[in-house]
Amino acid sequence: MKEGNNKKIGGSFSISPIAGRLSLEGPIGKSGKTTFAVSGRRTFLDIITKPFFQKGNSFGYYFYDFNAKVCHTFSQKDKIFVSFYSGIDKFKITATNKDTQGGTTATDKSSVILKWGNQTGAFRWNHVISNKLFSNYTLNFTRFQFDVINTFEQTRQTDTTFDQAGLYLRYFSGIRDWAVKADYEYTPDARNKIRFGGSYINHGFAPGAAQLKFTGNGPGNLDTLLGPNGRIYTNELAIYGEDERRITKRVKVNGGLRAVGYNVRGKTTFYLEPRFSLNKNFDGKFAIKGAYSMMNQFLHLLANSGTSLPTDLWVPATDKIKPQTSQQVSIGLNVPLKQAFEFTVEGYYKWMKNLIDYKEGANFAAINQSWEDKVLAGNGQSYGAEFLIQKKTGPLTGWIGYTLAWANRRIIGINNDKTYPFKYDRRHDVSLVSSYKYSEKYTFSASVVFSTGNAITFPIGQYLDINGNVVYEYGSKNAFRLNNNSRLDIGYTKMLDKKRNKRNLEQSWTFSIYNVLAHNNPYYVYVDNTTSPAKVKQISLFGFVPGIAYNLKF
Amino acid sequence: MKQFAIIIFIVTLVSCEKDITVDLPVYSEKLVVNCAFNNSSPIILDVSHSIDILSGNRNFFVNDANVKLYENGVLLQTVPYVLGKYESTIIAIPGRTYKVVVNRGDYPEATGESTIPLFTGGLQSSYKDSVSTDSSGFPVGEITVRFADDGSTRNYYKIFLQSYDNTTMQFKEMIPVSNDPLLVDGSADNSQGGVIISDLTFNGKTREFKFRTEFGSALGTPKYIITLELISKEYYDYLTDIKNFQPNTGGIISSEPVLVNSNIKNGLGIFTGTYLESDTIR
Repeated sequence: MKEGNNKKIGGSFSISPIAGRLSLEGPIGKSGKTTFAVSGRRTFLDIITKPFFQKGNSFGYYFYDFNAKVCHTFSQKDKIFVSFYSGIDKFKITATNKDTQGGTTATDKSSVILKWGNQTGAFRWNHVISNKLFSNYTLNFTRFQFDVINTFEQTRQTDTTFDQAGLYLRYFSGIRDWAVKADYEYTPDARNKIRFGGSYINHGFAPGAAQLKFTGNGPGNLDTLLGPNGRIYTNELAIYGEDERRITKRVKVNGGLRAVGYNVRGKTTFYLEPRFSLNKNFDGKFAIKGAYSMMNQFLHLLANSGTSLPTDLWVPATDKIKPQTSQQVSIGLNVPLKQAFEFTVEGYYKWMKNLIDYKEGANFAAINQSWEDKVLAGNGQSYGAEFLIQKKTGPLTGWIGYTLAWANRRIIGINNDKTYPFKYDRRHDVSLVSSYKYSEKYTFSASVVFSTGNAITFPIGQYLDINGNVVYEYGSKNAFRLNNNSRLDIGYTKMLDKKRNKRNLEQSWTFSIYNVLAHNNPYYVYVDNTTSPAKVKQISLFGFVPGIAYNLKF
Repeated sequence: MKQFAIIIFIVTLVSCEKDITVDLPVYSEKLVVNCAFNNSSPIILDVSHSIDILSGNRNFFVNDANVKLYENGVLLQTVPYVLGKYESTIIAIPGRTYKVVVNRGDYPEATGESTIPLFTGGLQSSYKDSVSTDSSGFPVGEITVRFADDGSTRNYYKIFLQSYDNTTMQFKEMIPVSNDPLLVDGSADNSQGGVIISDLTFNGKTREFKFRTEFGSALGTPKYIITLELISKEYYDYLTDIKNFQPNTGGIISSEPVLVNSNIKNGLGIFTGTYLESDTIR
């Protein structure tokens, strides 16, 4: 986030039927040494759609985020920053069924809420030690939380009696980090730049816990936390050094080493992470680069393959679950073209070990078993190529990017020990963003995105097992692809004449269409058993969405 | 402008959420063969067929398949359909390879092959009365099952207990209750009854399992039947898979899909030989 204008207070405001945004920045006090910047956004669809559902029924999605930053400059050598961010996404469905028969009114209400959010806070001190040595000290806090909440309430009412029973089940998972970092940059001469530093992070994981409440006007009310999934605290201490050196006028190399100590449940293990890169410029005609790196990751992403909803969990490496390790090589080419175009292509291959995935039959929300006992570990590879053409200057600017990629896993005990695609194996990913400034008054924009659908495991057949019970045939893990995601958005901004207002405010109207082609991008897939034969249904959010927004800069 | 804004508002509203049908690839039905044969009773097979996941027609049964049984490559019998099953008169012999070939109409030919493993461990079982009391204070007894494991291979076992019911004058399944570390958490419980275990923790050793008996279950004569089966790894995996299986149609809180193991070529199901020994405690 930018630091804020130290001359005067200004900001921007935008409002449309779908969303609103406000940002303010400016100096604090008259010295100009302290500045602030705040901004916030919220979508309104959940609010405006509510009146159009029957009472007790609703479907909604919203997100908001909020950013704040304060900077203070003590001198040319010292500057501090304090920042905060909070953002939440929430998806909710409620349904109510009411029926009156024989003098009894029966009401059943149910709801499902999916909510995920982030908060971060940071304090940073930039200090210039000398004209060759620059330092940066940071203290920060982050928190991520994910909730699934199911509620069900039943009431039965007559003229003389009222019975109520309710069930509330909340499954939540989260990560909290406290971190301290010190980074230094030493420039002994124009051809050499040395970076070094260290960090300490304390992670607190709540990989999955459940809260269960029974309520009612009968006996046996309950409100309790369930399951063995207690908090796990881990510590990460790292130091690093890297040297970026211009060997010749055209050749630059960068070599570095990071040493990490990871502590969990009283056990500490040390890891080394070397990295190397080389850039060679061929007289400005083109440049090539190659790189190698070895990395360790002390977080694992547990992705549920049976549903397309965002129910993935972040869990730590522990004494039972090793950290992920990877090695990656990449090679790239950058070619400046005529008319301010630039072309880049990069290929990569990554080997990964100690990746985890849920065992077959495991349930992320099951609280009778620790998550560590629900997973198996194995290996994976990801590889591909990325292409990019961009234009940064002129009335027409933008870029086109295309990625062709594969991401696979092989874990003994899963998918009959055979290799299978990772849930987020996205074969094709295309994006085009463009902006055309026709004049000072009119700007047109267009963007296109396309990506292959997520890979999930979906049953294809059913049959009888040796006990005479019905089981499903799946083919293989993650063999089913959700429909591809694609979207074309266009926009047109018209600046209003500044002379129309005394304060010389910058006003504009933006007319936009989100998803011009009304493509039904999958959000959630489920089986509808209310018909015969049953049908696979896909819920898509936000088809063709026109928008009109008023924008103000002051 | 006002009318334009209203139009945009309505269109936005309508576009919020859509429910569309997803077309799945055309499904090809397969023959399903289920059979766990042993060394003490004739080979009996269940033959059925799979159906599309979305089909509302739950008719799996097959009564017109051509089922052939081979021993060491030699055709032994074309197995007849009798009252819902394909019943042969063949009792399998350990060490010989048995193969089933099933044909029906346009279905791909389904085949399965297996051998009864050799077991030399020697089942020994015994019963002791009044070793402890239950929660109501009544005395309960204990069944001990003991056998020796062959250390040269990884082995898998199924233990099944039955107690005699004096009222019905028949044996009925006995739920295995045990404080043994391999069995106490219920993870070894088998959906067919009894427990299934691997020899990972006792490879090459003689192992005892103790099971608690209910009060009053030892009143008759005979009292208990203990059945020990040496099963194949693929059957162990299959039984574990069907125990873990949950109907999973992509609900918000759903279990990981279980890919049920199958050893039927061009079909589904399990065709496996087990070595069975049983002991009656009187």
